[in-house]
Amino acid sequence: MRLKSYQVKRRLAQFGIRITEDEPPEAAISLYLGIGQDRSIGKLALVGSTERDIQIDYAVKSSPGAFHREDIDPLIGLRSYQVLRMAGDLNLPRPLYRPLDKIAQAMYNCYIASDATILEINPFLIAPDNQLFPMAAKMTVDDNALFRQRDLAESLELSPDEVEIKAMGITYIQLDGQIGCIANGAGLAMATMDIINLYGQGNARPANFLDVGGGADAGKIERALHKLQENTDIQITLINIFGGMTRCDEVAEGIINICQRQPLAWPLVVRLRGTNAQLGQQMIIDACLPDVRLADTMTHAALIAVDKVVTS
Amino acid sequence: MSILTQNRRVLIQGMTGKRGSFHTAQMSDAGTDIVGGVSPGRGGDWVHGKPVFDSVELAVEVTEANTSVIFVPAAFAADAIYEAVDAGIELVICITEGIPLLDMLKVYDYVKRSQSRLIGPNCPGILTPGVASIGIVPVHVAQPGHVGVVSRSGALTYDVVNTLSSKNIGQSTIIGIGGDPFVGTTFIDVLQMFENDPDTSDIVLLGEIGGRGEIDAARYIKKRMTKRVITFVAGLSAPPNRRMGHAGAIVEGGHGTAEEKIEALRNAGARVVYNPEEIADHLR
Repeated sequence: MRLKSYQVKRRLAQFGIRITEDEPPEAAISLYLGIGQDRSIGKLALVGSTERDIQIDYAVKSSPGAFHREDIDPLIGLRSYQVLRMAGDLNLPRPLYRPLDKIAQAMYNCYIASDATILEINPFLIAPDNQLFPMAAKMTVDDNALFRQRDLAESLELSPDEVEIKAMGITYIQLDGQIGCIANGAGLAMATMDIINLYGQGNARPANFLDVGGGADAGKIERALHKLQENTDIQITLINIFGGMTRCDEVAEGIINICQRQPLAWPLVVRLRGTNAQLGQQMIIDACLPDVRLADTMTHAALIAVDKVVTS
Repeated sequence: MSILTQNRRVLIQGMTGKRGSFHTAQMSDAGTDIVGGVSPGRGGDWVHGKPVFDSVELAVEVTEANTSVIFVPAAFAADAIYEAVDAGIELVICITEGIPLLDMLKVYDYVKRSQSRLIGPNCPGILTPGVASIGIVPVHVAQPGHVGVVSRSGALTYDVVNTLSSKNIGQSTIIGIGGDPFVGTTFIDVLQMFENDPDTSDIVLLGEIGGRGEIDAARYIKKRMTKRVITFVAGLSAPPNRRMGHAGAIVEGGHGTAEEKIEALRNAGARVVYNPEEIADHLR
């Protein structure tokens, strides 16, 4: 989650870093400093550069000469000598070494205390008298850590609807296609989208990513279908469930409940596999819902959905 | 033979919770040797006929457990992993989803310096059909056989395994390494074990967007693997810079796309399918 600028400023101020609000000084040098995570080695990295347009994602993951990078041992933290080595490599004036270390350590402490994933100060302007002026900062924080960063959660700016969906364990991302998707599990939800694209060949695409999460019950399926009804681009919706903890009879119940209450704006194609799949399928057959079709495989379900979009 | 599931004496950390208790029964039914559980403050209780201990250390002393499956909530899961490692548990499987990344960075580093192996977090664990289940992979989808399955996801894996079983293609071991950015065991680790396992003839690798685990796997496949690898990478249609359900499933700064992974795996000699339901067709 990306923080609002006022929150970044407030956080940094708690660690003694004040973003300059006044007129920028006549700068001799412009400096970038960032801290990020490198997934491939499981470490944090401090990145510094005197070039203007550094991208931390790029800088953390590769190491061309335009910037200097120091890996940070997660158990030990950022060492002063690493910052001094960086200052030397970047050819910064010697009187700046210690002040830079102080500010890099403060950034690191702020990063850790905030459960950040990225913290960048860009640029620092360095005046001819070697004074450092942090001009702007960006910070993103780890969504998994929001339970212990409650004051930062306000940056999420979720609508009540989004809050409700998130609390139910549903992940929803809107896209620009015509086929609504509901699946359980992130991998299965992505695979469902991929297969629609594969057979849609550019003429039919997924309208969203929606993962109902583990152990989905009737209520979650109803809520998910309700959510998709906001999207007027949808022409058909594909429900693809593989029941482990999730029971397919519960999924069927959710589908039947919502369809019997008010007809959906579009037809459904439903594929149920795994725990209680046969029971769920039979429930849907017995409910005689006019606009609901069952499919045996993901492929079959996707072909039905694509056909509906292409022929309408 | 199979990988990782031989001679396991299994503890359940968080056994008195709803999920822990449910899966204790499931694992026990699958033939797993569950020797006890740990829930601080609940020592002396019994769950499904298994004793509950206050600490992993005590549980190990009494039961000689060598494996632990962790179901404790995300805020306490990192601590549970440290406790298992410090008690000398050889194989720690963390099912919990949503552990803060900075906690995991430290855990990851700590485990690397220890004698323990961590699987996960945010993973379904391991199932060797007919032998043992140490995790939450539904036992009824699998059948004994010779295909090794390794994956970053849950339901998609069960679906693929179920399809294989329905076509009489059994599995040697199914292992989910987890959907987080930092996981204890990588694709390479598992590929190496499958390559060395005489009971595994072919491997199914289910990847997804984010990180470079599949790219590293491709390099390993090219250099070392003699067994056939069939692979599906989920997320070809995922938009960039959005987290697709799993914490680790995100294309950042143009890195970790499905396209680059598919290309690397194909160049390494793996068979790539674009529809996971076609995996079985390549295993006949």
